[in-house]
Amino acid sequence: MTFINGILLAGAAAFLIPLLIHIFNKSKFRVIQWGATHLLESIIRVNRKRIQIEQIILLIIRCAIPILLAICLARMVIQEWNNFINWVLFPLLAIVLLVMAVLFRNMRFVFGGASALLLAYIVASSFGWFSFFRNQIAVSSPTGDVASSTVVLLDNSYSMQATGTAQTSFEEAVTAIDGVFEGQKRGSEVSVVLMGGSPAPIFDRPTLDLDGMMTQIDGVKPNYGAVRTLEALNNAISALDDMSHAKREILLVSDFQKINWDGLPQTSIKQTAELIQNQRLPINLTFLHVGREESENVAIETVEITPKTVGVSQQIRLRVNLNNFGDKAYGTGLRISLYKDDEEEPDSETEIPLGPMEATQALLTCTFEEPGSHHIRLEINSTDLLFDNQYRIAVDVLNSIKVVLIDGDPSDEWLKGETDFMQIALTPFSKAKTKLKDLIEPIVITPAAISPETLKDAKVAVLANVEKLDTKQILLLRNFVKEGGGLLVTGGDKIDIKWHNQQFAHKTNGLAPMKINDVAGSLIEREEQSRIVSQHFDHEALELFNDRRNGNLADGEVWMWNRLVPANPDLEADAPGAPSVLAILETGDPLLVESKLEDGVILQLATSLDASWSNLPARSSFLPFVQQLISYLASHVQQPRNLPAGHPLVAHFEPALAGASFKVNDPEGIISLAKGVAKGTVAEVEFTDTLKEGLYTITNDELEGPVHFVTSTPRAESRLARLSKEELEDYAIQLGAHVIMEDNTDKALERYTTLENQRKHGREMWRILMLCVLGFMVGELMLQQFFGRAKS
Amino acid sequence: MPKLTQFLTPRDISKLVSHQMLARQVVEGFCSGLHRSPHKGFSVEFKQHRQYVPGDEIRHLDWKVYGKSDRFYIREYDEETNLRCQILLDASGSMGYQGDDAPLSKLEYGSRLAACLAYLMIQQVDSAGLITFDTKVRQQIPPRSRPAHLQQMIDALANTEAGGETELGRVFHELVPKIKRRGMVIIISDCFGDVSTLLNALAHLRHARHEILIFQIWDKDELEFPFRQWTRFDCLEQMNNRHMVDPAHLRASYLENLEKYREELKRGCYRHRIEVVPLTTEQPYAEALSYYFAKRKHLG
Repeated sequence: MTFINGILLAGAAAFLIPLLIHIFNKSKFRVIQWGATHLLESIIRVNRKRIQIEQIILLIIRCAIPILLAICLARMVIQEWNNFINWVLFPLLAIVLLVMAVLFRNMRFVFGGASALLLAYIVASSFGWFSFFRNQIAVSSPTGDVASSTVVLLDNSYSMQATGTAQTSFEEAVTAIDGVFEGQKRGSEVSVVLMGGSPAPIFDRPTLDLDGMMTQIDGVKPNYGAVRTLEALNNAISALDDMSHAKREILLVSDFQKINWDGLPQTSIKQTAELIQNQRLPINLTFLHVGREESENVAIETVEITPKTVGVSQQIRLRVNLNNFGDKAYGTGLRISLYKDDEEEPDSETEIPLGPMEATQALLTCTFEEPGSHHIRLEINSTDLLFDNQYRIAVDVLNSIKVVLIDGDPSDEWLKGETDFMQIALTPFSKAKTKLKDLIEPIVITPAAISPETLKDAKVAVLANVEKLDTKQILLLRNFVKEGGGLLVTGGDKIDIKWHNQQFAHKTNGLAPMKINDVAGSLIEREEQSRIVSQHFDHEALELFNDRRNGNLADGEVWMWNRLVPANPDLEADAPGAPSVLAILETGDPLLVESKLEDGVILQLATSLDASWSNLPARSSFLPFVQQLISYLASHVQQPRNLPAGHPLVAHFEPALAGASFKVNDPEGIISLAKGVAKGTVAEVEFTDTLKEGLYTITNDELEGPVHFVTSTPRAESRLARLSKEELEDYAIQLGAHVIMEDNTDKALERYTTLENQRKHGREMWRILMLCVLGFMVGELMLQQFFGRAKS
Repeated sequence: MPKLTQFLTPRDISKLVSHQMLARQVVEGFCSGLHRSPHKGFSVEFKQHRQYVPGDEIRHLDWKVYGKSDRFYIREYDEETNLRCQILLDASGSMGYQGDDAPLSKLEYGSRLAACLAYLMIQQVDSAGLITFDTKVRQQIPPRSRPAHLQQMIDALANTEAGGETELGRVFHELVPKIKRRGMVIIISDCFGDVSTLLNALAHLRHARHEILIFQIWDKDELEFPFRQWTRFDCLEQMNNRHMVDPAHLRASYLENLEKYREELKRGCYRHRIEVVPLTTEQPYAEALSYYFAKRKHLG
């Protein structure tokens, strides 16, 4: 026995009002010096007892009315009749019997006795001495008879696209939900939570408009990532809190993919089960299984793209990871097609053989001739689950990346200048006089030439062995970095260590993340020389070197280096702006250090970029190393274009576009509007509703072309393995759910209705209580009249 | 000294003057000189001498005869009989009741009514006497027809205060021998008490051949019982008789009881040919009297 609006139960205290009135009346009596006592005395003598009983009865009825009304308004809900009968109906019946005893004086002993017996029974059963209703009588509330609050958890993950029969699992789910909604009584409210990716309700509030909800559900496509089952369940439980009916249900309609259940920690399942059990109003959880088992599936799991920063006419390599989860062998080859932008004809195709339960990789390439935002779609010609047969990638093709090389030790002599090696490494094609175009466009200047003009449009600046800079120049570079520029600071013999430590690596106004303790190593003594430690690089800028085919950084010898120590040792390791070491020397000294300053990144290299302190420039790894560093620094300016589903899309535009309205086209073609917000020197557009996998385009009339973003969900559900009936029932037992697993929807619905009619629900008792209140009110009036009547 | 005007307004007096009370009985003539009475009395017209017996009033002795015969003789005259009317005013505790809205207590109302009657009678040269009583007779003024007698009665009425228990039956039995001469007995009372005892006493009075008229004085509250809130009814006659009740609950029973009582009284009185006129203290008594006398006249 619970209450939906428990707080209103406090209104029962209103029973004190008639009681107080009674007491007050009795205490605040009037004294009348009365003459006609002989007329009064006889009736008082005759009626005293009767009047007392009548007054007690009236008082009981008057007190009972506010109590019943409060219980009624608090929306009493019962799950079984026992308590209701013992605590509400029997006391009321006892009162009625008492009234009858007074009304029918001939039968007063019969009625009075019955009332006393009933009261005795109530008291006895409250002590648990005996009870006729030991076996709880469940309150039946058949569907269609009682309005209910239902939360439907609809699995719209992409595995629901699987077609076992004529329908996809999702279509079956929608038919089932439609059937469930049709059976609901008028006034029932529903909330539908889509489970795919991150659980999200269709409407924020529960709705009574079941047809409207059905229309919404019809528009839903199962394009989402794997289901987070418990999160969705918890979501549904909290959604039920806002709902008003006593009959509460959660209907989980899913294909019950193993992947969504097997990884669930036992403690979390237990917590959710407890949460369901501890609800004031009982929640009935039903697992409705839809679709057929289907195991054949080939999926594009991931696609890796290199290079990270792509230039015009630059070859893009796409490494496609394929996985065959089924038993079907693709002996003749599985065709992979690459489509650029919205082209209908594939740009390139390749066929690879793929055995059953086998994973493989395929390499595809393409180039873009136009700078700007592009996207690539990869497709395989498998007929199974369509969702994971394609994969999209957004590519930002740059015209060129302007890099300003500030040479602190220039030389007219070939390869003697500090940045000469770097220039070659950055522009390999033009230096090699090939037709291919270099993406990076380096400009060499002297430290004195640092000015807003020279830094304009530059994405990266390199301070190579610069002796010192004046405060203005430091400020200029600081602002450059803050606005998203990349800065590479390299070591060398020219650097004024005192200036570097005091000003350039200043805690608050400096740029360099590390101070220079001293210059270590020796050009002559081999013992004092060092190498880069060969390790697994986690950092994006260096992870290329985890694959030895791309060169080995440990090949190079570092003869001399600046021994770097943190500029601000007090800074916590994970604090913003704290330096992180990306690569170290065998001596343990840091070689490459990164720190972030607002939107920009600073990399500090301990050794020089020329061949004076190391032989790195002469190594094959130097070119990818430098390219990677500059690409990383340059790419950092760009907001990521390929994101996991659910992550917000952020695009930066010209500051003039701040306040402008941008159209965001989602994978289903739904257009939303987003506003450009001024942020620093750019206009930022953010779009957060990215749960759907696929291509998002941001357009604005002022832009040259659309900006593409691609969201992708992990392909966890591609292995189409469902829970077996036993496994599902096992989870159902843990969560206190009922399982409906039938061959077709009609059977499932029939079973659901049967189940519903058998289950224990909360049922609101307000009708009975309201009738009692009305009955008591009428009774009170009638009794008052009756008691006031003369008795002969 | 209380004046008549203290009790009667000029309007009341003028109204009453227009009415004459006609006795129904032959013996007790209504107006002076209209009837010759069969009774002997001390009046103008000499009838006979009678020998003095102790107890006779000395002033009625015929001194001339004594001078002649040295015997005491009493002169008896033909009495020009008028109505001898005794007004019995109940001054018991219950008559002291005065409702919230009532202008007068029942006793005050009764006093005024008695004054009216006395005035009217003396105006008609009838004799009017007054007896106030509660448990026993408190004060008795024998019937006289002198105008000065009215003043005596008014003084007595003004000094009457409610108190004591009503025992109409016993008092009336007591009074029967005291009201020697037949005449009219007007009882102004609420007639509370045991109806059968009262009727017995009235029968006794009636047996003495008195014409009895009862003005039963009610307060409106007693007839309507309008009380709503919890009330303690303290008996006006018995100090420790208190009843704490919710009057709303009792009203219907009370009214029924009241009706029963009134009906019983009415029937009893009717049986003894006694007229009972209920009056409430709000009723203008003069008007009520006029109405009553008009009705009385009708009855012949």
